[in-house]
Amino acid sequence: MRSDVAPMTPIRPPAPPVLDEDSLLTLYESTAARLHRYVARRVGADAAQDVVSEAFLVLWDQRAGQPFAADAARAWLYGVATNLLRRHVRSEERKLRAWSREHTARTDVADIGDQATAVADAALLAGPLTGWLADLRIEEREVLLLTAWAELAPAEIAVALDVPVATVRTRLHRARARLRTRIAETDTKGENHA
Amino acid sequence: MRDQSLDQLLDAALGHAVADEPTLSEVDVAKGKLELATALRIHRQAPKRRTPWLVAAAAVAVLSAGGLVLQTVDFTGNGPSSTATAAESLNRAADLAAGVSDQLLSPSQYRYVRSRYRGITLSWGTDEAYASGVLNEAWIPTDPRQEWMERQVDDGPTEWLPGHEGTGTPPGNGGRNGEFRARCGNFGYFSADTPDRCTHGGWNNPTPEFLAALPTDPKELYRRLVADGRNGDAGALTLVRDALTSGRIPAAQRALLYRALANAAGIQITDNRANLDGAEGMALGIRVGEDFQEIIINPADGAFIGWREVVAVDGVLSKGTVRQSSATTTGVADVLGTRPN
Repeated sequence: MRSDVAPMTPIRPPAPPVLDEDSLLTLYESTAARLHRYVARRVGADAAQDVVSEAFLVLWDQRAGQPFAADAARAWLYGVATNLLRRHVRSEERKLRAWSREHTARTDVADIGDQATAVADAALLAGPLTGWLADLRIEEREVLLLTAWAELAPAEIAVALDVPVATVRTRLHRARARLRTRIAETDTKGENHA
Repeated sequence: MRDQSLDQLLDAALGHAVADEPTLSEVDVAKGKLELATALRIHRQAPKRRTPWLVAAAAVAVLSAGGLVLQTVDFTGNGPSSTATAAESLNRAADLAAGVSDQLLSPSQYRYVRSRYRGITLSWGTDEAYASGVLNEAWIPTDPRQEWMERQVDDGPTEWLPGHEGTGTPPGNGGRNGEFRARCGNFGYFSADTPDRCTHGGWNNPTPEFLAALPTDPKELYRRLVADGRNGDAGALTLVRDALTSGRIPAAQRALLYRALANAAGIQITDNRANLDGAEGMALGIRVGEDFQEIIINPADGAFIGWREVVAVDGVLSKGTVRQSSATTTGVADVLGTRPN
């Protein structure tokens, strides 16, 4: 018997995307500038160029041909970059302290507390704050800056750093608590950090 | 100033900090993409087999954990034990530790380290909090260059804290549970570019070489701890905690660490402090930020048996709440993955 209905072609679910050259290059286009900005804030623009390039090559080495999701890959890239940045810890701390010295205004910041959210005060505080970042333990600084500068969520940082999300939150909590204390001390003492 | 205002100010100031670095232009990105494409052609290779992407919890034993228990602790670090008394207790613990002989391992045996952690995870920016726990077991070969194994499972219920409930089921510990094997304990997914744990020792990864290079004079060791910990005596105690949690500190070196801590001014000694397993010991405590952190050691032999962190300042969690606690035991296993008898 003849049927007018065309035989149905079995529908297969699409194969999950894998990391190939095209997807890596597309990821570079969408992510490199943001990743570079984060790395440059930590170690300077020159070193950032190398770290970003190397991070993409490490991702390729480890994930080429593997299932690929752009969001997860972005978190991995920040993780790789963070690990690469550990080679630059001393120069990062020198940079942070130098920036702090250069940007700490020679004005009294005693009244920061009265205008807590004022943009001018935040800018004023950025100088000494940057020096305090250099005093944090590296594990705490990484989590704080991945949050503040890379704008990653704790769950993304957990993937990036390969630690439990609870660890991320603990480190973040400690880093913020230590910096809040420094700010409060500044407020109390009217300290001039110039 | 209220914490909320300080938080707002902190966030705003972080936004300004080092924000003047030059960024990549579109031309820079296009150039970088071309360079990457070229590099890939040179660099092309078959995908590598990957090690499991979970990392040893023993190496990052700072999982937020603990039950909601109120304690009577002096959080100031100026409690009943004077500095002189604390130093005496620490030196006594050191004498005990120094008198202990470590179990010797044959080349085919493994150091077995079992740690339980329980504690509270806070959701940043909300009042939500939940308690959860993990059990982590590690088998460390006599020769650390050989294969290590780690097994991690959830331990106890994951539950919202009363008064801090969120919606639905609490998120739990994340996806790091499982069984992992790797030489040198290099369990990390990014092991290709993280420092090799066999050759890069540290307080979290106290290799024999790292320990051998530490000062042997207690005062010098104390100065090293303060320098590395970056938070005065609190930082020193945190590093000692990290090292002891690894289960890899020989008795003689434990003794040295206790003698070093005897130089710290703010350490408070509390007897009969229970670890997460309920075993009691002598606690060495100090205020660390908004928490009071304690290392618990067995008063009979100076062995490390766990640590705790108790909230010292009222905030989302009330003062006196145990934020995290742990219990650690060690042994010798004959077979990888098999517990000691």
